[in-house]
Amino acid sequence: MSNNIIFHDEFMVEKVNPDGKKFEKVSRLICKGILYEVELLVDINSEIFEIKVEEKLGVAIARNLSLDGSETYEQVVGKPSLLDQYDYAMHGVAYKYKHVEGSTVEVHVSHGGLLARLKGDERHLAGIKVDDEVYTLIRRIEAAPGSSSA
Amino acid sequence: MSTTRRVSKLVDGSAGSEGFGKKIKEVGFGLLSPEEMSRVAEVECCNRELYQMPSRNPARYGCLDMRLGAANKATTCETCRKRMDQCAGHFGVVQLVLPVFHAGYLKHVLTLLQCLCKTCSRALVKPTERESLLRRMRSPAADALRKASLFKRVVERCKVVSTCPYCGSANGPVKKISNQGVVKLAHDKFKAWKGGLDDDGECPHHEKLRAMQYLNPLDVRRLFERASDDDCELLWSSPAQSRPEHLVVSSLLVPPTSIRPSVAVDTPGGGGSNEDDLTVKLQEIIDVNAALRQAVTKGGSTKMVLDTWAFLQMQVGQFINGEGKKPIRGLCQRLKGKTGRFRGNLSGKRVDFSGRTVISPDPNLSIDEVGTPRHVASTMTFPERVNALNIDKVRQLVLNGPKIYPGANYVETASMKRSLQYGDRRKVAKELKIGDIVERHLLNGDLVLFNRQPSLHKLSIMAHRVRVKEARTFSFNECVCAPYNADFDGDEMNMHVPQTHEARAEADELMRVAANVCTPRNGEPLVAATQDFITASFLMTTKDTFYHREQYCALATYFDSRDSIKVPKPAILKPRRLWTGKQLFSLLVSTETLSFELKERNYSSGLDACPNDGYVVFRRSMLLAGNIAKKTIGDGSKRGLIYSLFRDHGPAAAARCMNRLARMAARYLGYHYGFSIGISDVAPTRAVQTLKEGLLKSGSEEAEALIATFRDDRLPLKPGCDALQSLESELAGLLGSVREKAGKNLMSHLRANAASVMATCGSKGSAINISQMIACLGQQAVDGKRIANGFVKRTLPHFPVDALGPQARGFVGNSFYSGLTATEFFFHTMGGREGLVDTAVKTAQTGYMARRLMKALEDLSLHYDGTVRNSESAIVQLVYGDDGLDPSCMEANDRPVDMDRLLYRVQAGDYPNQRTATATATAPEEIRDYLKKKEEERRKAPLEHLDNIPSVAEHASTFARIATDKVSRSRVQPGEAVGAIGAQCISEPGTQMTLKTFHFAGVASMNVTLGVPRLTEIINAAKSISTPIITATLDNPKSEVSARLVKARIERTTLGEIATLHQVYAPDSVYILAQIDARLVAELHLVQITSRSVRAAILRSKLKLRAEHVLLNPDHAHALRIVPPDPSFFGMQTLKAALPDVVVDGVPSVNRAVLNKNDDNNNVVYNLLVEGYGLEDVMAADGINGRETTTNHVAEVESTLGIEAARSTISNEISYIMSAYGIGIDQRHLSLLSDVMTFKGMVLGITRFGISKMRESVLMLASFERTTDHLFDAAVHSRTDSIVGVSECIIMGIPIPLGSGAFKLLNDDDGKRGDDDKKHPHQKRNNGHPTIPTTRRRLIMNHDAAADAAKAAAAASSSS
Repeated sequence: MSNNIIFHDEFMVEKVNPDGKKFEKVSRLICKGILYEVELLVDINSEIFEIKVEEKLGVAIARNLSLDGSETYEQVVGKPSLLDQYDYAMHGVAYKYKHVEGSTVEVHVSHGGLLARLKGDERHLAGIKVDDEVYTLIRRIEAAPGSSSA
Repeated sequence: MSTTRRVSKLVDGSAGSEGFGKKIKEVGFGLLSPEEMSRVAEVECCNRELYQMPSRNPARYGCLDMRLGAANKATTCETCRKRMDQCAGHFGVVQLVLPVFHAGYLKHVLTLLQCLCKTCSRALVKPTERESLLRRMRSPAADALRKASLFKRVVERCKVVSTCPYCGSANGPVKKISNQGVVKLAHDKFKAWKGGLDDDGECPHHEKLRAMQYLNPLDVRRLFERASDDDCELLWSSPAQSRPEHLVVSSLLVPPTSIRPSVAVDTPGGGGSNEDDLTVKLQEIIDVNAALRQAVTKGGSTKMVLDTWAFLQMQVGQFINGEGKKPIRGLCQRLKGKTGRFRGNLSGKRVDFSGRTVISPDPNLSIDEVGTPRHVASTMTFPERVNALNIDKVRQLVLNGPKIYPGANYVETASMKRSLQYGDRRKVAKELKIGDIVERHLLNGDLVLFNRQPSLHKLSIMAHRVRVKEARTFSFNECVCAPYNADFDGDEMNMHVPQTHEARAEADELMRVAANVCTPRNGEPLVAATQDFITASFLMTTKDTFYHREQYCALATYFDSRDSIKVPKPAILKPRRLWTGKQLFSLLVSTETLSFELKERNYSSGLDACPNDGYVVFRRSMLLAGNIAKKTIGDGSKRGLIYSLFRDHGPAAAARCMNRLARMAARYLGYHYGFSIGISDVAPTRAVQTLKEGLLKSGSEEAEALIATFRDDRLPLKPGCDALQSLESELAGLLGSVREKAGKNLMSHLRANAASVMATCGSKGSAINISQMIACLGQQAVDGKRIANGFVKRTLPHFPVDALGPQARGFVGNSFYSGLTATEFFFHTMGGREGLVDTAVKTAQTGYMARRLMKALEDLSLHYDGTVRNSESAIVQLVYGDDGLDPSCMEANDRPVDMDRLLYRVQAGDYPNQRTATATATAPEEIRDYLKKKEEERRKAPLEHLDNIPSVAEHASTFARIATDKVSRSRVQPGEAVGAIGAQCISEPGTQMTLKTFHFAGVASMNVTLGVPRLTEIINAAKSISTPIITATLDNPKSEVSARLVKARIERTTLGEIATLHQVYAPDSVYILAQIDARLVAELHLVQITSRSVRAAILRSKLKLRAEHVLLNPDHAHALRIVPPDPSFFGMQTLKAALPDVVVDGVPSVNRAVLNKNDDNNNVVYNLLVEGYGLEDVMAADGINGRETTTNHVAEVESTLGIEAARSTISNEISYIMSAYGIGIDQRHLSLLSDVMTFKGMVLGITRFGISKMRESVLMLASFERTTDHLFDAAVHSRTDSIVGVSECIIMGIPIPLGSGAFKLLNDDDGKRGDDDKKHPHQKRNNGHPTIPTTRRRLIMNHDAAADAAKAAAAASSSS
């Protein structure tokens, strides 16, 4: 794992669109981190990447996409990169870092309006700084139990 | 004395040349003597013929004599030999054989007659008082107002005198007797005569009726002639300017023919002419005068002389005031009214260089442009002076002439002005010299004023730049619709072209659209995205809008960005590269940095994570979350994008953003998205249908249940309501909620529905509109209630008798889609008609109110010393709005800085963080406190990595610097016409106020008048108002029991309510037995009522009973005997009828009191709402906390608590009205209005009475109301008008001393001092006062010197 990944964990999808499907092409996932117990809320384009409840996802937040962490986005196009290891990738900016209570904090990332919110202990989330450009990478690890397509 | 004045001819032939450079200092009013009239006149008119017959030329010595001015275009004036357009006309005179009364002065003549002894002509003031009154009248400190009250006192003193203290003869009242148009004055000489017998030994009392002495004009004139000069002064007239004998006319001035033109009528059998009313009347006067002369000189019978004289009197009266049986347009009628001389011609003038046509929208124009048809651009011109730089360009324009577009219409050289329509343009172009003036066509970029009527506020006239287009209509960007209140359904607008560079510069600085984005009412932006612009932005920024690279780039080019666009990284990289709509929208503001967060209209919960995507986050010019809707880019929002740009990056940035937005929106909807609405959008789905039916069914069942309880008399009563009222109030809530619920549920059912998109983003329509189209129309209301009975015991014959159900009372269950039944349709038209009538009535009312407000406030301006003064330099406010800040610059809730927003921006890094040591320390306390509080909040978080949370302290100095700067920038500029702006800001929202009454403070039974009627009430300072309510706080607000006791004590209790009255006819006596119902009294908590207190109350009442008439019965504690003073049967009956109304307890002027329960957070607090008058009594009542008790009645507050309390009541009440309609008005406007109403020390209404007490200017008052009264009054008292106010200056055509006219050049090039002091007497008075250093008042036109002066002024003001 290269040092440009600032947060990584496996997540269980607990809810999809908890308030009902509000948008045709966008789903909101509520996930629970398996290792750090970080709560993740993330919007994804459901037209091109569909996720069901109880799927298991690998999620990473990275500073850039190159494998060694040295190159910029433009330079990785067409080369082997982190993109190869994930099924779904978004680019965005961390725009808010909020204290909730105790040592719990909230980090907000917006990918052109597709939001991601990580809520957990500040030790795990301290790497993400406000105004950082970040890449949110998601890969399917395990299909939901009972679903036929893996 | 009277000869000291020299009256020159009013229209004098030399005025044209020698009059150059003359300045009108003041206008004096007075009375002309017959000699003066003769001197002024060119000709004595004594020929009754108008024309010499065979030639049809005006007859000599007739009232159309050629010496009175040129009669038509063909002839010249015989006096000045000028043509019609040069000669203003000359006066003539008619010498009357016998004097007559002047119709305008008759009232004053009457007053004077009452003050003078009818025998010796001396004022009837006692010698002891005379000296002091005369001294006070002569005092230079006495202004017109004081003199008026002094004069009133003199008149009152004189009226009571029945014996002349000087000659001892009898004096009585003088009365006007008018009999069929003939006016006579009669002196009832002996009415109050207390003297002895007269010379003949008879008592004049017997002759009382016959002793009436007629005073004919001749008598009166002689009487007045004998009055001494001192007496004249005592009676407020000047011996030099207005001797009282001139009030009786013996010569009549004939106005010039130019103001009463003859119209030649072509009839086949020989010509004729149509004469003006004045000419006809003058002809008659000349005729009657001749007849009278005949009768007097040739010895006619007395009756004949008197009749002719009376007839002459009538004719002269009609000439002056044409009212009467056969009304004509006399002199008064020409001055009076909206189209009269004052309002129609002097205060408002016709202008040249103006155009008007239909308007159309054009999103491709910049917000400060106006698309101008070529026809308009080549008809309206700008006078361009030729100079070395533009001569070639201008020459080409001259060559093009009027027909080829960029051309010119006229050329003006030093010697003459010539049209380019005819003649040799090439020659003119060749001879063009530097210094000539060319009236060229409008070119792109020229500044013009653009206006739409009604011009309710200053934003109704703004300066736009011309963009010449091939169209026949004016066009402009839709963003500017709101300030003009324009739409494109056939509206027309006007254009005016300023004709000087000075005017252009002012228009550019003060009136251009970009400078007027925010309304001065409360600083909210008015120029902002509307309708389709909002819809397009909303659709573009919804969460599921994704674009390919090609789409993204195509759309990005629509933003009109001159810089190259940098395509950002796509939001989704894998599996496919996609950009979002928000990334596209961010390009809109890519050139400015800004950050803000706000909750949009569709926000539900969870801040950033709002499921509807309703939480907008802009950070460093990137749209990170939330869909854009009305709050972000629409008008009326101070938290949005446009406002942020306007405040932080300047008007140009806001304008640029709106231009881009308009271009993008038009193209996005036109070429990419497509947005339309049709019948399918309002067709209910099956689900909606069932939902609606369910709602209707449950609603009507509930209503029926309620009605059933009402019929069974089981309905619980609401406070202060009877059963029917309680039912209506319950039903109103119930049925109202049906439509609301339908609307709410509908919105969630509708997807990708054009109507619902528009309602959600706020571009057009609301949930209610949609629910009316799809689900149900809901309850129709007339006068705020359900439809009332219009037939026998029901609304319409379709319903059963006494029906109370929803359908029978105007509930419409159908929708526009499903169609209305006959009865529903009828009810709907009833509601609709009320709306139409209301609008029609309201426009007239608000228009009049606006006019009155403007007249009262027009001349208030902010002076250089920070005070608000009127044109007479009377101080109205010491500091404008108590802080001298400009309402249009207020960012947050009447405060100049929105600190939350600023802190957010500073923390987001929008500003370079500069740390300065002093910024925080020198900042105002409010700012420092805020910073301290915020940093403390941040430090509370127990985190290791606290630095991840943005710091406050780090940015404190940047914050403080910017905030302090904002405060100092939002100071009002000296000269600002704060009054006029305030008047507009208060009257402009008037048209938006529709409903009349509201429930008061949530109490269902208490209605308060609101809206325009209430506003009128307050502004008029009405003595009796429609819903006076006293809000009383209780000493013990927690206890309901004690509250009820207090309520019972305050409420009026009459004897009839608590006692039964029996007539007792006993053998020995008759009396009325009043039996007090003790149980009832106890139930009502009226513990203080005893038979003793009742007895005292009866004795106090107006029945005039004495102690022996009201007897207590020692055996019966609750019985009283009332013995009628008149023991007859009728005496008994009168007494019995009057007794029940005797108020035995409570405040008599109170109608009722309602206990009001305020329940917030289980903290129950009671207070009393008292309907009626009597604040003083309520405050003093036991159990009432007098300090916390107030009323909505201004006059009562003034009399009880004083003028300061009245002042704050006025602004609080207006504020309350406005808030009920959701209209925000800055407190400063309201406090200015209330200060104007109170600054004289009493509450003055904004009415003709109040305004005439606020200002002295005759011309201003004459241009307001009662024009002729004010003018006659001014003449009688020989008043002068010093032309300092706005109205006067407009009338006289003088620049107004407000705004950019507030200052004058004091130092001119050769160091001569200007005469500024005259215009600003207060500054003169304050000379040498340290706070107004002379350097500060001296403006020097040289730029460097101006800067030096400013520095000097700053130094001087800081040192003082």
